[in-house]
Amino acid sequence: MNHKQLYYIISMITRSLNQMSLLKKMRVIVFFLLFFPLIVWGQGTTVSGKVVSSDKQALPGVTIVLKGTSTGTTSDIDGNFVLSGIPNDAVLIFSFVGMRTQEIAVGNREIIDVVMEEETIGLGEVVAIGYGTTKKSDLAGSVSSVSGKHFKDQPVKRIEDILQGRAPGVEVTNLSGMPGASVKVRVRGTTSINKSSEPLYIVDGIVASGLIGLNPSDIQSIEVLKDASATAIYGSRGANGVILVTTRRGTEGRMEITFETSIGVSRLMKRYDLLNAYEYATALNDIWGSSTIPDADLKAYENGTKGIDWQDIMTQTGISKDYKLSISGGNVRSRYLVSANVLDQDAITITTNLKRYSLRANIDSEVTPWLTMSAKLNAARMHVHNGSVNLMEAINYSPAMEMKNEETGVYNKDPYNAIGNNPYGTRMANYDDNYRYYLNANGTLLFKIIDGLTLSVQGGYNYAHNPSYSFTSKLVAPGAINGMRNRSQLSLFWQNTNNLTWQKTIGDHNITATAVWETSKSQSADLDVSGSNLRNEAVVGYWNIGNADTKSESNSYSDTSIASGIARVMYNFKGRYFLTGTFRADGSSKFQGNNKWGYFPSAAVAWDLAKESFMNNQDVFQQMKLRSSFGITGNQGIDAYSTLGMLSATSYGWGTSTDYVGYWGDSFATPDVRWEKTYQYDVGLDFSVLSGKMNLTFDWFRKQSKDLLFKKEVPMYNGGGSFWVNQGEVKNTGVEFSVTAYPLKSSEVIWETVFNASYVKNEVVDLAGEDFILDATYSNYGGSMQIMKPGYPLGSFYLYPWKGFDDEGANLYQKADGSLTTSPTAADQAIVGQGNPKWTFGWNNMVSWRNWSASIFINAATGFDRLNLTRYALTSMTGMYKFITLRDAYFKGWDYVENKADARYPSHTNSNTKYYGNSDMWLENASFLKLKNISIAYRIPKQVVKFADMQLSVSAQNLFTLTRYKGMDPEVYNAYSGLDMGAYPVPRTFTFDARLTF
Amino acid sequence: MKTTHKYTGVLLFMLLLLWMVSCNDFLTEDPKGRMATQTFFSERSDLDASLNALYFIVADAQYANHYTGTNFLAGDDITTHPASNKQSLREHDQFGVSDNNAWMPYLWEQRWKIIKAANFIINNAGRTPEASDEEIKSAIANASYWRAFAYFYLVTTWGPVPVMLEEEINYDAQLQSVEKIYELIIQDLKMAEENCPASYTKAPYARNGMNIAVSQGAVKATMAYVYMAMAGWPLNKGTEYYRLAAEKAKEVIDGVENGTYYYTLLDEYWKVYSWEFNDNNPEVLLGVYYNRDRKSNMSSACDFLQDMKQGGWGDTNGEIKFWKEFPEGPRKEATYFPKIMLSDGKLYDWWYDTDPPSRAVVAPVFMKTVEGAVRGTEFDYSNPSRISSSGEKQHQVIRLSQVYCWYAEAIGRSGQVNTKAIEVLNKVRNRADGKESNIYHSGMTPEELAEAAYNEHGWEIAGYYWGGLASRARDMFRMYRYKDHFEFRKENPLIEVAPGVFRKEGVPVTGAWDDGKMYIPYPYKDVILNPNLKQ
Repeated sequence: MNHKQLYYIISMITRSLNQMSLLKKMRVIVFFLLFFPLIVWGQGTTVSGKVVSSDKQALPGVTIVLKGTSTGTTSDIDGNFVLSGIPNDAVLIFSFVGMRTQEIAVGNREIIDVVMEEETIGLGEVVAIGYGTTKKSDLAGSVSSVSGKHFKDQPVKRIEDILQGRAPGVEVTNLSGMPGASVKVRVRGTTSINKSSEPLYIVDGIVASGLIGLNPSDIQSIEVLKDASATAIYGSRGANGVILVTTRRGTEGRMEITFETSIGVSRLMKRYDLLNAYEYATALNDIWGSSTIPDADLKAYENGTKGIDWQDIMTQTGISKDYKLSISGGNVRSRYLVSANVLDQDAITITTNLKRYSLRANIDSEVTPWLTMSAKLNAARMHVHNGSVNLMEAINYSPAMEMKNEETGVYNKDPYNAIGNNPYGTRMANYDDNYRYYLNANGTLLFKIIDGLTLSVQGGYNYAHNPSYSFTSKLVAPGAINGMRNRSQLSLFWQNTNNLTWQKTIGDHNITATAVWETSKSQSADLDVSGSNLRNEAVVGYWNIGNADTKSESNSYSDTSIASGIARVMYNFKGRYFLTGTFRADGSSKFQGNNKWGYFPSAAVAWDLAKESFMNNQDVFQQMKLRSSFGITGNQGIDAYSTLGMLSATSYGWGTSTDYVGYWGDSFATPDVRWEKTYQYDVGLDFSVLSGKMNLTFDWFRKQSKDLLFKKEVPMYNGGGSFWVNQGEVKNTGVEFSVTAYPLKSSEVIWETVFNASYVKNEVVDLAGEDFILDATYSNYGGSMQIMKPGYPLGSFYLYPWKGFDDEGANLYQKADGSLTTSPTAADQAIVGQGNPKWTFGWNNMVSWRNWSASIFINAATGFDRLNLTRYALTSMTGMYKFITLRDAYFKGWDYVENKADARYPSHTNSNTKYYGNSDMWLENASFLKLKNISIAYRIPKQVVKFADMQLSVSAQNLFTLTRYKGMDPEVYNAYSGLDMGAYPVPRTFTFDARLTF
Repeated sequence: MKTTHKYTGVLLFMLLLLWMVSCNDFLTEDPKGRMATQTFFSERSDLDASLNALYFIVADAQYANHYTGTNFLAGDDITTHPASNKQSLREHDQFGVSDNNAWMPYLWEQRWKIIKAANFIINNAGRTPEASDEEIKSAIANASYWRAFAYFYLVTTWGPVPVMLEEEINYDAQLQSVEKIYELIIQDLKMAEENCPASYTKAPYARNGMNIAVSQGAVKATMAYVYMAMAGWPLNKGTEYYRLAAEKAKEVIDGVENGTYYYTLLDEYWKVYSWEFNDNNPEVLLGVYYNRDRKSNMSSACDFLQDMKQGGWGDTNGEIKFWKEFPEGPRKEATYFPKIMLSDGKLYDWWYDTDPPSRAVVAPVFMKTVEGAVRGTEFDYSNPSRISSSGEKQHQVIRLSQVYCWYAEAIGRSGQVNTKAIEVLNKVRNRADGKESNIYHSGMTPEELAEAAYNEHGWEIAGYYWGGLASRARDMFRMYRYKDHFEFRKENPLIEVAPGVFRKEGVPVTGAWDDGKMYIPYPYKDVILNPNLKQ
């Protein structure tokens, strides 16, 4: 057979293949590959060529392997390669990180030039779905996926930041701009009233308590399971959505070393306009009496020799340094990835620092043809020094005061306004160190039993040790007692997952059936010692409890376990009709007797219209898939032993420093408590148009959480507190939309844009029969700030309607009957606004042109409010704050302004002025649009640098925020749903980054 | 052959894993190291532990003014700042407490916590093995006392309240009549009287030879005051109950005289609230004890005015008329700051004001809860050092001088005058005067004796509400004297406080009197859980 004949046969086959179904195609290819060696027989030849990227840049380091052998090479600096002794029936595999792997038949060619294309979210892409993977095009449920390339140009320090604005239906809220601070993640709204609505995190198949301690650059992809069809496989823990993190693996080919270093510079974005020391002193004398600040001091405040700018003294420029190293490689049978990360981050407030060191090794090895082993090991150490700062106290502290007693070195308390300790003194004289050590080991044995049938046995072990040490000095306040504390929290978790999967194609029928038996247990042990009245405090710090005259100690242990059986069947016919059914049974130790077991079924159907024969004659839609699903998932997020009604412990000295331990019956046993259940419905549409240049996804969902794990309030006359019942219902309804498109895709320029929008309507349906429940109660700020009431969303504000001032400058509020009063009663509060956004948007743009690449990422949220209790405290004399510090509160206050119509704040001398933090005077629209990231990068090819490929980039995070919110940051809050009480703002950061690839 | 091996291996492996995890045990909770209600009171030490918890809760319930005493601002001895952050306090002073008063729910909740901790002991301690009957009864007697104490507070602050005696949640609890609640209080106090020892010997119930836990003398004294309250408003049981009160007070006095009780008056009044006698005050029948190493209180900074050099919160200060009528002498000098130091470091009379007048609060300042700037030292008003707001002076619940006053008042109100009453009242007054002035005599009418005793008691405990039992406001309540004070405060006349210097109260009182102002509203939070509390 000559080359011409062969070419003819191949072209015949490919042509007829094009007309066949996927299944047929596969069979033909298998047949062809099996018999091809018999048909074709040729001499070994030398093949050479050049590998370039889609933008025509030479690609060095591309791995080229002769399929089925370990023979291979890599492309050189100019992208050229040469392979000799290649039979012309051979197939070459071209692979490169971040590029789509290509298999190219050599045929009779001697020169093969290859254009490597970047991996995109295409239909053929494989996504993790929990206990397995599937092609995105075969999904019947609703899953969002984010892969590494979407954030590669954003300096991510925290993994949740990757998800913010990038996955429709996932609302990520920064609760604080503090390094290492937590993030709120909600998948399709808040489902539980009293229990955690945090999603379940799974890292490489093993349940994780969070994503802290993971190196963001180790992430291959993150999948978010949203609808019940997808989440029911996680049963009792799936109701809040599931976030699957897959870490990178080594890739076949020569060793690749990447080193990346970046420096970030952060600053506070926005300050409050506060009274300066002189203005403050004048205001004090004006309102409290002219004897308050003596003349001599007043002069000193005026000429600036005295006085404190608290916002200035408490903040700094935060520098962060981030180093990443990764080494990967391997051959056909074994692959490895080793990576390391060192992060050293200073906060924008004084003395706080975060350090994270992490090391990962992922190894995959095909030991025998029927057994593949993979092992993943992650070790991390985190150290947070002085992890907190009291911003509320800082901005409420009097500017007109002396920092400390110079003779004794003792920091002064605020003589006029704030009751708490000096925030600067607290940070300078006290210190604390919080360490976290993580070791996550994860091993899988994958047995290929017979064709299509595999058994994977996976074991995971998470070790987390969290020692923390703190010291409080006697210098922190007059009369302060010094003290120390050492605490050690140990958490151990193991999980065993045995997964039997059968995958078979029979004719047009494709079946994947999975059965899983899983057990897991988590244990925690806590040891805590503290001492006060330390001798030689400067010497011993927190390291010598022997020097403490008074000591306290405690320890505790708890464990919880879950046993589960899981079954799933995924079926599709001709890639046209899809059916998925799952069932999970979970038994949890947290519940008693027959309530231990919960059962969670789900089903989904999908239909790809584009695959129908009547669609054959169009080339607009490559995919047009209708999806629908229903399922039940659960929530078991109560603490261990919380249904048992254990006694509460007390510690009292009877007036001495001796500790007498006591017990009393404070809680109630609730043996009837069981799983909370969420019923979820989803309808979705997936479009792929313009030859895959544009993919659109649309989803509608409804989540109804019933039998809520509900903390029913106990009347105070019964001692107060609460107990668990399964009552109540919350409903979330929403839509999600996302589009991925390439507005420009030429050989020179590629512009990829990803836009998504999510809408969630949350509604309380029932509250265990109660008419309403008050929430967010702060006695120092006026009482309850929020309410739960059927018909209204969770996180609804419950406030006194403020209606200006009366004739003497006292606040006027509207009573329930519409009349005005200076003294409202509890029944006059009204429901207004909500704390969780209705709409969230994300828009990511990535543009590359020759060696340049740029990205812009915008995040926005709207339809929500914040209760700005910070501004309330700055302008009101209430609770912990006896005076005012905001400039407007004085200069635009009733007492000061001449024309009373100009007054914006009430009279601070009128006894009838009642200050309520729970008044709509402090409710502000917090809708925002943030430029989360903008970056520009330039890649200097290896030809120029000689030793490596180099990419230099500069980027800015949170460059600007568009909002009408008057506080420091509309996104952050620190209590309940949207209460800003000195919440720590997200800083603006400029980052400079260099990446070398050897 | 090879494949068969493979299957066998896999199956064995799976079976092994299934066997390793036997389901039942695996899912059973074992709360290691934690105490359960059912298994508690199984050792004698559990009795002590339950009392440790009860006394902790009692101490916690009195640690700060918003937990124990903002309602006592209704008294004519004490008032607050006209503005600043004192809204929650001011409403009590103005007889206009709203159901949304931010601090008021704590007053309510803390009393119920004491009741709950007491119920836990009363209902369960009986089953303790090993313990003697006496030990069990003593524990239950302590619990009964504090339960009665809490109900007494509730019934004199809110009037009708639910009666909770079981450890179960009741959303339908009915309000019980004042009469019924007093019945329960007396029943509990009788139990306590019978079973509380006259003296404790071992720690922590005794220390420095003093009773720390509730002793028999303290119970009898409490009964005397409770009977006086029952004799007055709103039950108005009159003479019969004043006689009962006098009897109980007399039992205490007799016990003191015959040596059954060690209590005795300190010789000088300044020692009463001094640091020196904080932990060994022989005059105190019952106190609640604090120590900053374990449990501190927040009473030390409350009474300082905001413009004083030592710092402080300016929560509470003296009313001018009460100060004016307060007899001069060592007692007055120890009750109020003789001079106040303003921020310029100079000492002033309290009535000092700038020219033109500008001080927000011009009022006498109480000096009872103050503590030295250096821990463990006596307070000195001429020392400019800033004080700590964290305190550890004991909160005195009952002192012997109060029992003397109650005896004299109860005797007088039951229509009698006797030498013992005159004698003990003179003891109180003589110490206050710092000399044997003996101004009370047997020629007084019963009415005069009662009023004299009433006033002496007011001066003894002026500005001091931390004990929570018998403050000036409580006296006025049982004598139905809020109304007069309300009218006086509405009028708010200028009072000459020094030759040619006139001052008046800063907190305005407005509106019209009605008897609803005798009580404060139930907290909104409980009203919505149980509509029976709707007024």
